[in-house]
Amino acid sequence: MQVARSQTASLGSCEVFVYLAVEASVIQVEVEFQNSKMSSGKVIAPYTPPADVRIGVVTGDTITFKAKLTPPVTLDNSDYVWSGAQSGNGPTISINFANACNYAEGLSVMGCPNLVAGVTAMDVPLPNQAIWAILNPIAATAAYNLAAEAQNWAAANWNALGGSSAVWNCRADAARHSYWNLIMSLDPDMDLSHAEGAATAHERTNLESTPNRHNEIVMDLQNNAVGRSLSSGFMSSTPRATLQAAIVSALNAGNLTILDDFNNANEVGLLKPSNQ
Amino acid sequence: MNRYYVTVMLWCVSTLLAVAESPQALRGPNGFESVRLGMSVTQLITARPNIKPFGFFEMDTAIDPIKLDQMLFESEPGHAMFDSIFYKFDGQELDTIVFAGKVHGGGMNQKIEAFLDMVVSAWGKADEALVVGIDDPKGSQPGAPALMWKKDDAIVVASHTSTENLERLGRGSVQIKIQQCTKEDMTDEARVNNLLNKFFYLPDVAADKKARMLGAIMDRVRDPR
Repeated sequence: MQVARSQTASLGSCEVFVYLAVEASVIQVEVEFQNSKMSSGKVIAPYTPPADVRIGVVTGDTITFKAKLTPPVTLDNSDYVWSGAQSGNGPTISINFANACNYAEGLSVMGCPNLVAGVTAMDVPLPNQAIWAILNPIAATAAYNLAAEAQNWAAANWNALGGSSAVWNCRADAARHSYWNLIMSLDPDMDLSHAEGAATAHERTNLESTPNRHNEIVMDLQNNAVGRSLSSGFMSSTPRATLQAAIVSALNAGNLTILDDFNNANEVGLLKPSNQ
Repeated sequence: MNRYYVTVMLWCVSTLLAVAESPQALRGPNGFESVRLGMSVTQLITARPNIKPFGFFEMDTAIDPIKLDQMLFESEPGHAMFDSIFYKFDGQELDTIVFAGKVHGGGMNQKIEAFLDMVVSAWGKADEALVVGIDDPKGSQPGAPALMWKKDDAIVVASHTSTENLERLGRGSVQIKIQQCTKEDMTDEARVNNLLNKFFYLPDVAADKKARMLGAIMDRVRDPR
């Protein structure tokens, strides 16, 4: 078996010519990922234009990556070269993401240019929201009321924000979390530290609940952080309409994060920018 | 002694035992006499019908009376001093209660004095004074003066925003945290510290600042003699 030449490469796939006996074939190469809750792998599909598509995991999670060849062909293990977060050879590689970080895992098959799978791993530290509220009852009361305000704003503008009916993980969901964090950061009874504490404690409670979808938790944590980062440009007296416009602007600029599969059964959803 | 009297006596004894074994009344703020540590979710719903589950984005969720370890919440409970009350269950027993009220606007120091009078009226002079963390926002200095009572069935800590932070922030809060415990817990300093760590971030405060903070509340602490 011999590589003739590599031909094309994009985010999710590439093609290589190989000689199988006397017959030349074109093989498409793609990267699949599979977490512990998925029954089979999902191809990390390319977007046009290419987007920052990532797998969202909580620290300690393990993801198995697999080279998908179409048509299926048996190659030597040494023909698969994995690099980045973890190096190795063979058609699959399992990686445990122990630290909070953005990772890139590359695959090269028979000289085909690297296909790169992005992974965002995040910590979800203690305490959960009940314990956090006991420690911070005044801030927790404000956070509770502001969550209701954010919920009502998102619900009233669900379609305009790009909401999906009856499911989360869409643009309106991203906006809801981000707006909640923005208004918490500016509230007189809270500060940035309280806003981060409340939002992270909420995700900790989600992690301790069943079902606990880790990629949704990562999505929420990222949108929460964006909301808090926006607060530096405003004051507690800033009109709500201005704050809401800032969230919509961030949403349309792709600064928030959504999933590419709103239903997210078995956590198949990939993180992607909110304008994709 | 005929059978009738024996029956009546047995009934009286069993009733007295039942009362003795039942969780004690809260001995807390007025209006909460029907709340008792150790009570079930169903009993608390009867005592405080406006409670709801505590959870961000869970405002429309109904209370599940058999759910374990849940936290219930009462907003604007109709008490002049408190804006919210948190009820934390350990399993199906009410284990922790937190009263929290904001202090702002005119007469903040008088409101703090009224709060201290209220807690001393409820529990008597405190067993100890200490400095705890409190969730004052934006630019606050660490530490808040607190009174602590070690009861046979509970530890009670009442704290308020320090005078320094009231002046600095123009706002503050009063808080009472009550945790169910055993008599043995109260005789072991390590256990007491564990209970306090459930309630507070315990701050590292300089000795002179600590003395200044506690000086204002020491008249509410019983004489150790």
